[in-house]
Amino acid sequence: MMRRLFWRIFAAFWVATVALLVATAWMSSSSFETEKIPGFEITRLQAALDHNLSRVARGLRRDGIDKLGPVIRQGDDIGHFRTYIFDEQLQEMLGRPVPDEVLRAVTTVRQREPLESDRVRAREVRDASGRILAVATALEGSFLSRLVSRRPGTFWTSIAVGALISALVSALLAFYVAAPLQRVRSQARRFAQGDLDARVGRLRFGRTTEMTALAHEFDHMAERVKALVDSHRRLVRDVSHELRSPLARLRVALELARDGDATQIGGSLDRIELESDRLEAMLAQSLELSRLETAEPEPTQIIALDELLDDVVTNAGYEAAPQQRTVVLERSESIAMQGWTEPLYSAVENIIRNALTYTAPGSEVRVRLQRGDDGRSAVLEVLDHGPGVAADDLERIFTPFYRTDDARTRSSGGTGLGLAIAQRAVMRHGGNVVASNHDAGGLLIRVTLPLRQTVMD
Amino acid sequence: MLGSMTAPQILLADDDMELAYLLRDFLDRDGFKVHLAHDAGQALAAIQARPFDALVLDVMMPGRSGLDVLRELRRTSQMPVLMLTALGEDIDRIIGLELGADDYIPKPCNPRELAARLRAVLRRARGEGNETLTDLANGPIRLQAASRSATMSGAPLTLTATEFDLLAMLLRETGKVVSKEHISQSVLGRPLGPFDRSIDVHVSNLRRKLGMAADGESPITTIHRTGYQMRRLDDAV
Repeated sequence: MMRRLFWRIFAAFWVATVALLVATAWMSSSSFETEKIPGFEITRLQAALDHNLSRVARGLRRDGIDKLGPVIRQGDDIGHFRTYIFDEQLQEMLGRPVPDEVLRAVTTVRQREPLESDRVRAREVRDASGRILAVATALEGSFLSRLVSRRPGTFWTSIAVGALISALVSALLAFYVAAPLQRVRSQARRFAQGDLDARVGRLRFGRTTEMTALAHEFDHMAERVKALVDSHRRLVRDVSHELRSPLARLRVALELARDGDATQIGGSLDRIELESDRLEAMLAQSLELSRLETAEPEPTQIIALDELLDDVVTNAGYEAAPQQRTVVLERSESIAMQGWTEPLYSAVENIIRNALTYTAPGSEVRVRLQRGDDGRSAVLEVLDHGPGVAADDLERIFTPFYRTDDARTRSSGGTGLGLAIAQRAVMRHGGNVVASNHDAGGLLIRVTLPLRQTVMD
Repeated sequence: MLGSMTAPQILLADDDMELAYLLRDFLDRDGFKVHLAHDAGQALAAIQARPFDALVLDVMMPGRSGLDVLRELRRTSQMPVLMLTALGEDIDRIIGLELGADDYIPKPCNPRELAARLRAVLRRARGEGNETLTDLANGPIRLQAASRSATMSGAPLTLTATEFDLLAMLLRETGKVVSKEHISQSVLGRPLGPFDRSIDVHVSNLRRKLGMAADGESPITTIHRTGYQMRRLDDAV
């Protein structure tokens, strides 16, 4: 493939440069024939023809036709300048056929009229014996044969050298274009075959702006896809791992119910129901998390954050009431922002429910919503009265299924996905979530959402 | 309950407390007396505090893992250990067996299966089902049935119950090839599963403990794709 691309580009360059070479030769020769020498009334061709004429005239005067004839005949074979000699009756003295154009020119000269022809020059000459002869020199042959035969050795050599140089340059150019393309292409293929670590990296050849940009774009895409695939793989692995715990409990409860007495069966059935609910919640939340990581962009809506918060607080507070846990909405400003209702609702709900899970029984969870100091963001703070989180774990509580040792042994009943979902949802809105331990105890979760829309994909 | 006097004392170490309580309910009803530990530290402390007939050990525990407990335990004790391993974590399983666990059961497990394997492990530890066992010898290897002990060139061998049964079986069949299926059935009390490397790991542990025979080769030869064979050894000391 690399070969084919290389040869195609090479051929294109080469043919183009050789054509250019021939065109240049043609143009120079055409100017030779048609352009007047600056300051003179004749073209270079006419000057050359005149020069030839005077050489012949000199020869005739000195040596006569008998001596000059063979020399002129010889010249027929190699040159494209052909010289004819006429006697008084306008007979060609060497007995060669004469083109009409030349005959016309000689006749014109004989009649002392101005000569118009571009490619024929003629004059009268007195030879050694005193006869008045006419001499004409013409540029003959087709354009191409003239081009080729003008200076045969030089022409072919220069074309050959030119073609060679242009072949070298073309090869270099072709390689310059083909090599980086080939590199990008081979990495794309590796990537397609499942090697998610395939990257173009720094190009060694052909580091043009466009090629480098293409390489960067590819690497960026590969990075993004790999991150996405990795996070999905991890999620699938973690989910299947996490599903085992409720399944294990479910199985034991099933066995207990199998041969138990009435009270044992009742307890076991409750347990089976609880574990089934957990399995269901875990699956639903895994799907939600996965959707948040890849979902295609939907149109945003204007969301009244304070109303959304009111909803969540009312619902969550109602459910937590039996455990003597309460949610207090300490402050709520009227703030509206562009966003997606469902993910945002889910983020706020997960954070508040998480706080309610860990706050001590009988205590309250405090919630505040206000504008940020810069006025361009909304800040939501949720503070519980729970045990807080070890400093080392503060960032990790947002990773899926991460549970502090404390949460693990307490079997708090969460799916381990709530905060991860909240974080992903907030990040999609261009915001961030930070957890910290409050000075007075308890975990404080602060969500910052930009009001000017800068949605990240 | 009549059996409570003789009920085997089991220590169950698992960080999933809800599961541990359920398993305790189940195993108690099945005739075991189950004590609980929720992490590596509690498990090791409990073992030091009093003897147990067997340990059921969850490999995946936060902090120090079940494998750490096993490593620590095997320095001093050959008590039967049954590991609970996560499905697909073959490495844990192999390392566990190499560290001297008697058997494993993948989680989530069927609790009846757990009880059955637990009973098999306990039977082995007590030497039940081996009442017909007589003293056996093959060259420098000697096995005393009454004390359930074995020596190599006079030096005592520290064997787990599983390794002892494995050695006894190979000695009985000295010179013959014994298939892995047969070993699994008669030593572990269960059929050999697909991709099950338990027997290989147990044999490799036993080999390590036996050391080399006088000719510089292991007394146990591997018969590729078939099983294992105890070579007939000379009486040289």
